[in-house]
Amino acid sequence: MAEALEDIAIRYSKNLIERSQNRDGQAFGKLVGLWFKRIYNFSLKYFGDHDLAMEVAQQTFIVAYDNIHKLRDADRFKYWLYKIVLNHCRAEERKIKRRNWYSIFNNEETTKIESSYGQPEIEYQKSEKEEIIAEYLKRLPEEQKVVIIMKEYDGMKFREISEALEISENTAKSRLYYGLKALRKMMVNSEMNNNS
Amino acid sequence: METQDFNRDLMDYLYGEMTYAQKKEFEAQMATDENLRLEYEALKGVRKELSRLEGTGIMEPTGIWRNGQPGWIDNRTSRSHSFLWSFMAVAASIVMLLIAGYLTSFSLTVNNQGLQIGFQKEEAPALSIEDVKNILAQEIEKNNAGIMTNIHDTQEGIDLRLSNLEKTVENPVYAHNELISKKELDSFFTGVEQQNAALLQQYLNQTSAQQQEYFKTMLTQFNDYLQQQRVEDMNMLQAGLMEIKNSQTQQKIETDMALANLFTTVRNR
Repeated sequence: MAEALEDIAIRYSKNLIERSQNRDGQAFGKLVGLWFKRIYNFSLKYFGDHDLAMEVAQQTFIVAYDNIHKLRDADRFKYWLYKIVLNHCRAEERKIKRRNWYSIFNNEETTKIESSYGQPEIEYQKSEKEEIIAEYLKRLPEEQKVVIIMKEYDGMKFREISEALEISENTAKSRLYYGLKALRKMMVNSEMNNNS
Repeated sequence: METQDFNRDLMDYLYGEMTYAQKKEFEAQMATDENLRLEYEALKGVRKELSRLEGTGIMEPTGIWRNGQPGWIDNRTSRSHSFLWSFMAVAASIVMLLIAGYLTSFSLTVNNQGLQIGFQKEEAPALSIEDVKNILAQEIEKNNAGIMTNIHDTQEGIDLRLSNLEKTVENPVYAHNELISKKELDSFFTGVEQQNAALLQQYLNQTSAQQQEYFKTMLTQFNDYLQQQRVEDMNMLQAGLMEIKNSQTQQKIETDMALANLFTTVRNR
């Protein structure tokens, strides 16, 4: 019930967006309240790490607040916000890769993102299966992973994914198809290993 | 259909983004294609596994938005970032001050007159009262000279104009010229006014006649158009009635034929 109400509120948040564009801090605060969970969950699926997801979600809203006046069409807020969060996710990933590369030359421990599903502060009971799924998602090519998260967890239509990622609907479908196939392959291999 | 199309249709079906007709068509296809059905089942299984990884019901961090302004507080990042930024800001300010000081030859001296802050290598010598008087006298002299030059130029101009005027007055053409009487001038203006009034009256008459002619033509055309439209409507109505009549006749014939067939069938039994 709460989820459905939230979705309805998001659909009718055009007024809040327009007020935020006129630097109405209260209105933007309400927008943050409406969108934070979605943006956080997107980042969490992307990295499988609570801290990183939290950081990316916060940065996303900081950038959104600074640039919302540049948004020409309030109806495109959703796609615009997803573009920002995706850019931040990619930037963070690049930083992690650079750190790891640097660490190899300095004989330091490489940064490994440990899946933090089910940290004490999150109301979420970790299970082995969930850990495995999160790990599989991380192993996917980035372009497939993003489409799967948007489709499977954010419930976006193919049309919406194509708008957010600036790709054709057919490309989005292909990426999803190959992503699911890759996941299937990982799951089958895992089962075979377990049996042997 | 190409494999790519199959894959895309499969995705549409898997996520319920097909119309009813498309769905039926795809299900019919799946009923005949065992591989397609197996692939669908496999991907459905993957979706089921993925659904285990639900989103968390997290709320935005406390103090994320305070007094209508962003109040992002994240212990892990903001502290280190704010410290780094503060350090960078102080360092940048010091560097900028040093550069500005170097470029403007900033100097700070303390002597018997007190603390002196300067932006040049050599201090400008202070002016005495006599120096100031001299400078003022020189400036006044320059100004007076300028004013005198202007007066002289103006005087020359006036003289030149006066001499030209005298020459003009002495010209024989102007000397023997006769003035036009007031009466003649009045009669000229009256004539011009009468001509203008006549022209205006003529123009109004012509315009009125043209407008009347235009309205007449337009009404005639409109009448013709209405007549034409009426004839066309009547034709269309007639054609429609004929069509209905034909259709009724056709229906009657068909009904008769059907009844005849029925009678024949019943009789044969």
